[in-house]
Amino acid sequence: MAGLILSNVWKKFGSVVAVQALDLEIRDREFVSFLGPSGCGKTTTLNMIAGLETPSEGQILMDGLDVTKVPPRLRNFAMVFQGYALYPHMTVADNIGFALKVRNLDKAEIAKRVADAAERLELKEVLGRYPRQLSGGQRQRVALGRAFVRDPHVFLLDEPLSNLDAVLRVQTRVELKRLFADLDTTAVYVTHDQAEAMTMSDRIAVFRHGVLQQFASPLDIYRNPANRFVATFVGSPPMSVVEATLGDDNQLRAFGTSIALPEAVLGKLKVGKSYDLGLRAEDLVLAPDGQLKMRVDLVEHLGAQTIVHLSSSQGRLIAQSSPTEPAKAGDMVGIRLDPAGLYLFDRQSGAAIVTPGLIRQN
Amino acid sequence: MWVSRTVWGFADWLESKIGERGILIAFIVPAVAIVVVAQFYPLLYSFYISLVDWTLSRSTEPGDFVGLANYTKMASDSVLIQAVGRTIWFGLASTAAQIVLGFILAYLTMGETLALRVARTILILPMVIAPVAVGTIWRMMLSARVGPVNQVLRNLGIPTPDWLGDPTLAMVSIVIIDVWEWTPFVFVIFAAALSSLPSEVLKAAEVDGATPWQILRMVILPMLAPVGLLVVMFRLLDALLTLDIVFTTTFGGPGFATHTLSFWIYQQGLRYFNISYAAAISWASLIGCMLLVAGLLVWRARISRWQKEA
Amino acid sequence: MAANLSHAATSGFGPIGRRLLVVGIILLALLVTLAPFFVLFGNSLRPADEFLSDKSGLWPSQLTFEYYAAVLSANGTTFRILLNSVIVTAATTVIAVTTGCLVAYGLARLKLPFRLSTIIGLTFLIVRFYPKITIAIPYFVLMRDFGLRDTYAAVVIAHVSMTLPIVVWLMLAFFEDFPKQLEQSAMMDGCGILRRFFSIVLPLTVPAIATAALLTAFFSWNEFLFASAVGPLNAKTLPVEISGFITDKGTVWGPMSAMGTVIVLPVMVLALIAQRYLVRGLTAGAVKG
Repeated sequence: MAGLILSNVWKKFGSVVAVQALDLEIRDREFVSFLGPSGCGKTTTLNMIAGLETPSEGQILMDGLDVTKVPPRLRNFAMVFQGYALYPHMTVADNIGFALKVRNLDKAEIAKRVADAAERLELKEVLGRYPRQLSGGQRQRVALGRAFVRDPHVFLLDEPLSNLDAVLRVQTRVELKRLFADLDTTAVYVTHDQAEAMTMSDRIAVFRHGVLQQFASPLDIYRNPANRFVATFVGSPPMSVVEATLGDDNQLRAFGTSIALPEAVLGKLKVGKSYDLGLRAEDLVLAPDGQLKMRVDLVEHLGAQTIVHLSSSQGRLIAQSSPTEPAKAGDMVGIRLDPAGLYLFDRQSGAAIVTPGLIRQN
Repeated sequence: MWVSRTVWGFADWLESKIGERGILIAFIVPAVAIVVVAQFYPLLYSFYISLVDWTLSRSTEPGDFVGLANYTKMASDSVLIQAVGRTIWFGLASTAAQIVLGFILAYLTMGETLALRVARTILILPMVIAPVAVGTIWRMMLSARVGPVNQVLRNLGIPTPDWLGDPTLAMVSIVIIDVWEWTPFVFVIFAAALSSLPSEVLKAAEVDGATPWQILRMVILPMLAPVGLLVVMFRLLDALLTLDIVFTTTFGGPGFATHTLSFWIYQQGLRYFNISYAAAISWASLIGCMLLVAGLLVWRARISRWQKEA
Repeated sequence: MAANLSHAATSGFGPIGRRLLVVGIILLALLVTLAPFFVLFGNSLRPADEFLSDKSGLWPSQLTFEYYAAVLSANGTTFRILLNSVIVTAATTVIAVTTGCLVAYGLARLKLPFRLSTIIGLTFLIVRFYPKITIAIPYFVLMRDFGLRDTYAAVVIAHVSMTLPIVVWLMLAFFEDFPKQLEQSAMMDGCGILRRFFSIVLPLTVPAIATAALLTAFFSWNEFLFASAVGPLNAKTLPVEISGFITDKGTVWGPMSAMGTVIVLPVMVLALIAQRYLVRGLTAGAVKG
């Protein structure tokens, strides 16, 4: 167990900047997710922490110790790879025990620890098998087992669930959360799936184009995003963004209607200026008396939720409808806006100016 | 247990001393050293030898620098000039025959039944056995009086020529032997190429209503062209340098009738020990071969490019 | 589909005639391929007096094993030559495959400036493309200067240097395709480069190594030119000896066939057993894209 500090870390591949001026502090025993679309620099950052890549600039500290140039084998970090990277020529037991063997533990101790891990991960029956004889879920658990036997300083997980089918993924996500709660250790988890990041992490680092956008708790990321990118990347269905202008009456003009703003946020806004207005589906409620009148284009029944795609001549929105009395495509509906749930971003920089989190704080 | 501990302990110690890079460089050194010492140094040394006057039977050390004298001497060497013509004729004839036969056999043995797989394995055999053994076997096969080939011909009432003893026929016999030995090479490459053809393309052609013959001519053959050129290059190159068969069947005879380029170089260098002259001929043929390779590779690049655009 | 295609060349013969023609051609090819081997094996067992007759038949009427007894008897000269061949082939295979694997891994993993890895790799390939006779003579002089003439070392070094390109190119392709994450995983598990290479990479490249070893062994076992140039007496191998039957001893078909069989048979058997590896090796590089 250990804390990690990344200080002004850069990684360049030729002329391509993969990671840019990254400062990040991961606390001891913290579970941190790196979230972002592919190519955002999250895996490169993980590889640098692992030692598989060397930063072009900057330092990585573990418990105050500079490990930037320490080879992976001396760091005692464990990693679960996206493709699992099980050794095809070794049995499950040998796969799990390999790192211990490399560390010259005696046979009895290795066998004991492998058995423990197998017990915990329900792999006891397959210890003698080879990876090619296992199901996808079993392989994934062997990959986890390889990391769990080791008692490493830090766990690194690179999209460990992305090769599983949808049902298994959700199931494993819960199991993982439970396992790590037991372990109580430092872990870095790379994913492009915001649901995984939200459910599992203490804090999430959102990356885009090699730049860290925000590093905060899941709720903060959701309710107090640093900018338009974070706000739209996190959340499902995605946030709707439309243009809005602040009128003389301190009301926001959007969709041909006016929205009253809480007193507290007015100081941050300028009359006559245009902003990007962000609205999450759960803050848009279908109601006959709603101030917005829009037409239903498409209805998605997701069971627990019903998502409606709406449009008017002014633009499009995604809102939630009650599952019991769902709207039908072609209906004209009214929508009620919750002013406490709106987001405003600077149109140029995308920086968040007003968020629900901010509104509530005031 | 302690053995593996010691070995890997040493490995880690070594890595801590010279680093991963150092170890990888150490990996490269032995092989590079062997190739440099046993191939590239002799290659350059032979160029040097070709520029001096050195006959090993007269002197154990290189003689005076004579410039290109050894090269100009080639122009008046009638055995060499005839050998070059003979070698080119031989290379073209045997390569052509091998390409045609090799392709037909590969095409006809396509498929995964057990019989076809066994057939394909047997058809490869001539190329994996020693070329000197091939020569030895065929010397018996083609022996004028008691050779099996002539025995069969005699039983069929067909005239029985002296395959290896007749000056005009001897070179034809060498072609036959070379074709027997190396058609398998063409065959095995084409068989692999045919089995790796994208089956969708062939199915698409079939769906488009092409007859099998049209598919062969208009789809398969064009797709095999780049591989085919590579095969031609390898075969032509090897055929132009054929030595082992000549050495074990006719030994260049009768007279000079089967003196090929390589055989003449061998004779000059390792029999008469005119090593300067032999080096000059071999450098001239090396340059010829390089030009041939370069030409064929350029041609192949052009064909592949055209295929990629399509 | 393959069945459909093989009809192409024979369309116009009707289904049954077409099939017969294809089968006939294949059988003829098999006959032409195998007949010479049959003659070789037959002659190696044929009593001496039968060779003189032109009506003796393709297979001997009586069998004799005296030629094999001579070749394989432990105090005969040929046995020594057979032993030489085995030693040279074994040494060549071990050295070429070992150094070849190392250099291929080094080239595949080293990040050298100026694409030096590619350049070194290509340089190896050049060896395949110039007439071997060009260096046979200077190599002979070089070995004489080293005092290695007529030693195993001279023959083995020559064979290794000629087979390395094949080994390197076969192994290079495998190492470059080797899943990167497996090695990274081994790094995380605490392995240094040597342990990674020997415990993880090599065990998974065994098929490629088998292919490389097979091709190397065949080459060395069969090679004539360099063996005859630098190993004329003490390091004489079977191919050199059998070539001598013509120039020195006149026609001695019986012993010659027995020795030919000793040269040919092991290769044939291995080729049939390890057919899959062999074909992969022979076609590597030529058929890919």
